[in-house]
Amino acid sequence: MSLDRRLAVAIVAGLALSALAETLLVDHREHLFAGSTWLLFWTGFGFVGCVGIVVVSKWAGHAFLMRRDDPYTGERVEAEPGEGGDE
Amino acid sequence: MNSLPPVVIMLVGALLVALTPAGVVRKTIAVVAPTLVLAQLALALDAGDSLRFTWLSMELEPLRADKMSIVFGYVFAIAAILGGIYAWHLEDRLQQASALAYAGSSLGVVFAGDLLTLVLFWEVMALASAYLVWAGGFPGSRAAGVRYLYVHLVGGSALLAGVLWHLGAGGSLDFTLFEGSIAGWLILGGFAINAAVVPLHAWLSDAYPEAGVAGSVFLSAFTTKTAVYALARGFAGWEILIVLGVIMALYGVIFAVLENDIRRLLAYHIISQVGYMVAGVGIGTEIALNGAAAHAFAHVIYKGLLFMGAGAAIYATGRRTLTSLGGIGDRMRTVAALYMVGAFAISAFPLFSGFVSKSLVLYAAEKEHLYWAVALLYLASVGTFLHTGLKLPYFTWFGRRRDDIQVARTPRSMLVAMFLAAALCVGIGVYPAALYDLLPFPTPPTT
Repeated sequence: MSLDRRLAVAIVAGLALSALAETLLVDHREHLFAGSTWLLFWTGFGFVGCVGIVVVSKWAGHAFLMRRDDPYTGERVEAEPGEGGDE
Repeated sequence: MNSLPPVVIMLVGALLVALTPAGVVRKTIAVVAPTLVLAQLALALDAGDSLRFTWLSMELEPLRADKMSIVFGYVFAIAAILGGIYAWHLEDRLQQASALAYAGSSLGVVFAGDLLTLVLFWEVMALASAYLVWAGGFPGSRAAGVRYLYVHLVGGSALLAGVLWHLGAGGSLDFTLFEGSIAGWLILGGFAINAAVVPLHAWLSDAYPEAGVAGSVFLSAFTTKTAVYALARGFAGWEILIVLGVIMALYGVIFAVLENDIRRLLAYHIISQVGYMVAGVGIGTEIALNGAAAHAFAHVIYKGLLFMGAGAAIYATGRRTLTSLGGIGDRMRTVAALYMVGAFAISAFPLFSGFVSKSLVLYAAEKEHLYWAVALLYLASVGTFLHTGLKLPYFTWFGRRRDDIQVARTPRSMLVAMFLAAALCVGIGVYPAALYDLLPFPTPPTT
């Protein structure tokens, strides 16, 4: 999948806004767990979390979670695996 | 009015709706009944009010008002009002009556002071809500409604068995904290089914998308949140609920990545959001229980708004999957904008309701040094924005324009209900003290 230009700009702008908000608003002195006192930790957490959730969910979906047939009716479900709308 | 159980007002309203011919009067009753309950809660009912009587040598208490029940009562009344307005276009007498009976029996549960009253309204809730699925009008609605009813009858039976075991072992009929006995675990199982605790959750994502567009707005509000209330009342501080809550929060997010049906995607996010509440109940401190109640309050409204938005898209296009929708935002600008308010609220954006409620649960977990739970709940929150705030709206409204999709006009009543829900999402976010003042415990939310 290739990123179109507007999407790439939106991602960069979103990250920049998150980083600005975190710099201005978050108190990094409070230690919750390893790394949480680092500057821009939460911006990175959010971004890596987003990517991680998509990657892990897609992998699990294709590996064993998704079914071609409705488990209750036995009929074919509307979408093929991979047609979940976010590819 | 201070000894009249709110459920009575709602059930009388449901009866009148069932007996009234089609027209404005019937729709008005469906909105006026919960409005009367809201007025009763605001003006007449106070913490400490009670109604007790003896029946067959049993001391029953169909009304026990305290701050915990009142905060749930408020939001259930609000949800029923919003649902009644949203369903104004509906000309289905039984569905309207069922919706009112469903909302009413949920109020019956949260104001029940004894276990027999609790079981009675628990079962009425199951029957009334099953009809909403049954009457959905989609090809899979009938079968999904039957499956939904089976699951809830099993849950209700577990609850009844637990209550009878509890009484047989010499326990009190009062609805208070349970112990870790066989009876306690059976009752917990009954509550956990309604709370859609993983792995007892499949009924929710199966049934909610098969209800009608108005029916699913009601369904999103009551069953899981009455279960959260019941867990908070009976199982606060049970640590297993922290683990189960965190699993729920992540599970819903993972399945939402794979989902194509827009309301099933939202249904998975109900499981995820209820996970925060279940975790809060499991933590069991005053701040955590405040957090669970606050998040239930905020969730009922923003999730209702999200289901209203998704329902409006289905109503206008006849399509319900992300792959068959897309690019209709310029023809449904108001719906898309109001949906986004709900999306910001569930994603816990500052100045929206989810922020002020979810923060309480996370803060409570921090205070108890449950840092693993804090990290995983934050992660679930990230995923919530990913799907509800980005994926669903992009593929429903904001993607490439699709001229092959016919878009019918959205009824004004739907827009009014969505506007009111959105106003509450923003209002609570901007002025959280209005919600915090209703919470069960006076503990300040932050130090």
